Amino acid sequence: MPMSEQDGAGVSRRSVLLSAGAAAGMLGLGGHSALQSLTRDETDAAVEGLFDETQVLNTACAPNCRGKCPLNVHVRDGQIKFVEPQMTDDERYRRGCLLGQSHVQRVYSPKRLKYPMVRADWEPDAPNPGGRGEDAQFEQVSWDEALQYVADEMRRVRSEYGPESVFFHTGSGDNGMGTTIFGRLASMFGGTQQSWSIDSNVGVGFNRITGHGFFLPPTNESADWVNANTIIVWGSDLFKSQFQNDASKVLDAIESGAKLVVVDPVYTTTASKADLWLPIEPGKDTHLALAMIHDVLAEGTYDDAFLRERTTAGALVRGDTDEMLRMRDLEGDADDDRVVGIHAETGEPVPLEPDTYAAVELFGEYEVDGIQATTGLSLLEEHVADYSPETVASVADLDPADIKTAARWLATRGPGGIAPSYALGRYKYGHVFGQTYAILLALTGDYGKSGTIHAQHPSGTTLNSGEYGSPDGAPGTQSLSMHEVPAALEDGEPFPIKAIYGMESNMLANQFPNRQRWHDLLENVDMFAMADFHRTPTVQHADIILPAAHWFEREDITDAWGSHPHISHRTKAHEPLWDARDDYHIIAELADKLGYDDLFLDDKRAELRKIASNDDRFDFDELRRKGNVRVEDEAAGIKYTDPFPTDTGRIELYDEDHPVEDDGTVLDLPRPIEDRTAADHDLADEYPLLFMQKHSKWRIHSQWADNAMIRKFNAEPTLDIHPSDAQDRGIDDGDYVRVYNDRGEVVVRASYNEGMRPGLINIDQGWWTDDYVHGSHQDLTHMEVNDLAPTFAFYDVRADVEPAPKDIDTSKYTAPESADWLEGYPNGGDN
Amino acid sequence: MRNSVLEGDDRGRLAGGYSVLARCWRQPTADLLAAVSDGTFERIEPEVAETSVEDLRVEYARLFVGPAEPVCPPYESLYRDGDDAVLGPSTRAVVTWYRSYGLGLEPEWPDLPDHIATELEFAAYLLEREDPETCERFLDEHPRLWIEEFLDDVERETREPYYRALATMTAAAIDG
Repeated sequence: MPMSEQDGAGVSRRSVLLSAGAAAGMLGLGGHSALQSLTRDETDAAVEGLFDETQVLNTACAPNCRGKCPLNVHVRDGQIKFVEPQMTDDERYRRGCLLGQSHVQRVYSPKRLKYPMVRADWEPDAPNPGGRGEDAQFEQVSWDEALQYVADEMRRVRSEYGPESVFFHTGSGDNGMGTTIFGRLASMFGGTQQSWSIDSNVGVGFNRITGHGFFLPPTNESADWVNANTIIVWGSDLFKSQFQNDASKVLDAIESGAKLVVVDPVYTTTASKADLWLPIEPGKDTHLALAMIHDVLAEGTYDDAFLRERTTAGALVRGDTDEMLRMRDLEGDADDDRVVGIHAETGEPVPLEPDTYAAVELFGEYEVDGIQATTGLSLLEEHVADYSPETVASVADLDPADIKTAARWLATRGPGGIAPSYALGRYKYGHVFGQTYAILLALTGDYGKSGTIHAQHPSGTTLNSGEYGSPDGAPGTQSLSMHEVPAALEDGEPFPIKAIYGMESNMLANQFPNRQRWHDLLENVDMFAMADFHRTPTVQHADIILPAAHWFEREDITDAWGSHPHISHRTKAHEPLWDARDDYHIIAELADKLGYDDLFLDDKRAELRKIASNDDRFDFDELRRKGNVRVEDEAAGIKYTDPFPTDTGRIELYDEDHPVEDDGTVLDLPRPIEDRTAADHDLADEYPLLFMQKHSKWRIHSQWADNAMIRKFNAEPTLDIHPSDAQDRGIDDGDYVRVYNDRGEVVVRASYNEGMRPGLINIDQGWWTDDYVHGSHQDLTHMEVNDLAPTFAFYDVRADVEPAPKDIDTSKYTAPESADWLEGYPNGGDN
Repeated sequence: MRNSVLEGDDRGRLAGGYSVLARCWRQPTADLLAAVSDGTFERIEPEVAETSVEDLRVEYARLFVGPAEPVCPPYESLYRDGDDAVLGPSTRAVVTWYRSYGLGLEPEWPDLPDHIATELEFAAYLLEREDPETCERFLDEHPRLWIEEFLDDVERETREPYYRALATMTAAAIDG
């Protein structure tokens, strides 16, 4: 650095400093008080600790890939430097993936939320909801100010509209105790919480047959999957999206000789590992399962002992009422509602008890006491006559021999099963598939044994928090399903929602279907607060932004929805950066401001200990010390060993409740129903392509979307399209294209992908709105749901594609100055 | 000892200059805006204060805080360490400087140690409590290695003349 005493710069420098220094007195910056952010005192400043400690700490990843992988965090000189899988209590479950490794980039990202903020044009008396959105601007405020706004608005809304008009919104973004703790406050306040209209489709259909399932039904813990001899992965790319235990356990089974069948319209990574790939036409899954039932019955490969012991296959269904014949219908006890079969030797009617072998006829039509009746299995056989492998093969564009091979492997190779994904439930009537495969697995006897499989992920272990969520004196919460929230926002039905506090979720402005409609709906809300640790599009849409701590910056307990039967502990690696706070402390201070001073303890660890004390299966201090403990509960081990929780205690092949869907279809037996996938759908001519949004390996839902390291490999959203579909439309690999339908449009780069079935296009799910040059994939989706298992049908979408308009600004990815972060990483057609 | 422009009887007032600049790079307050509009800062045209504290705070948030990725993140590590991550090696080095002179981070200050405001504040401290030479050495080892680039970004990106003027003034104040 040159000496500058004599030159002009030096003069300038002196005069600047002298001029600024003149203001020091006025700003109270004389002498000692000149120190503002530094101090001469002994300091325990949080940020300083970052430069000292060196240790290895336990924590857990939990972004709802369902992995819930316990991790070790290596803290050197106070900073997180390295992340690795932690040894699990049950050593068969030690896993982790590269997303878990990249938490280091998340913690130290300059994109994190740093301070509480309030939208500049929001005020309690003038919320100005039209000011929300991508152009909204914010001011930094203190925690006290931010939370006072939230508390005051919650109180005002409660007194003007009622407590249920305050929506305590959560998603699946953080499986610590956050939802549990938040639920306690919601219950005390009397607010509304949401129940799910996502992923609750296939399981509901399965439940009609077995009494099990809402999300995907229970399945054996994954360490048992190695004993499966046939695994049919149906609509899941778990070798990309479930790198945690689920993928590894399927690989274990393959190594042990299992046959892997993959049913998927896309040639996925998982399909590439399969012994047999069924490249099914989208929406024809129920057809295929019916064809497999047809084949099992036609070939006689069904498990007759299982059918007699654990199902209603032999139970008679009355011809006059279409209900199962009961003992009370015969001479006898009027209260005896046991169902009836025909004994194979005596020909007499006999009652069927739960889980009790009954030597009954499986097929046939009989007259009992003057009542004409047919066995459930005969009704099924008659029903599937229309779904031979040959017939279905032509409908679903498959080879009939492949259908028969899949059915034969499942039925004859010993224990095995079907691992469906949530993708099937993203078609409007996915629950019918749930009904169908539950029946198929009953025919093959694949329940309640080592090696049987019913879902692509096990249930994990849920901490029992007892009455924690319902403290004394709490009025409790109201519940709205996600698909019911729009009516509450727009029409005040069944009650209005006027204030929202959201956490661990990016649903409202990004992940829910028909994004623009949600933006409009939210204009009916006076106060929208979001707690998060980075600025999702939903955070950007909020009025009040509350910066939350990263998982590694908080002590917590992790449970639920896991791929393994453990509960895990999170140790705080260091204080939250900037002014971020553990959600617990945000909620606790909000509770204080709402007048619930005693609802939460000041010490979070003490609160966690209190929550954990409701669960006598593990000890909190042992958990803290070990990092994770295996917990034995109903989620562990082999499933379906007890009588089924149905009226008969058996799997009920014939559904005598005759559920009816919105189009009039009666589902006493599974009947395929299609919405937009149907070739003759009203929109089929105008929008010939089916649009889906699969899970990729680059993010979990919308998490990691802004992770700097991930984005180097997955820089921008792309449209997977078969070259033939692209060439028909004059689109080259790497071109920007407009994907559009009757609801909206999105502009992305086309990526030729010969793995796509022609007619089917894909943009990976989870991209944030900001990452598109125009629109969002959620501008194509809709909120129409079925009657019986209302679930957002994210994949039941039609669209078409054309070259992007010339005036679309793609500079964020194509201009050297704005896309410098790409650092020359090949994009577009090269990726 | 090298000859520094910081030598002289008015060292206290020069140090005050760094203190005031440090304050200016923190969240704007009404008294700060008042000082500018009073013409207290000879080098800042009072007209740049023809704005509101609210507007200035919105701009401050957009440039330096968020909620979106700040346009001009005010941290040394992001300019020098190249990992698109905060708390890098240069942050550590600056903390070592603070500690060498008996200073730690104020617990009430939740921001990072290599924030421009804290580095300027430390320069003020060194000038007042130590000597111009030490202050110059710190300026060489830290602020001068990144603040110019940061200030260029501010001048280019800001929509408020106030920050353009502040950038000019700060550039002059660390000019070596």
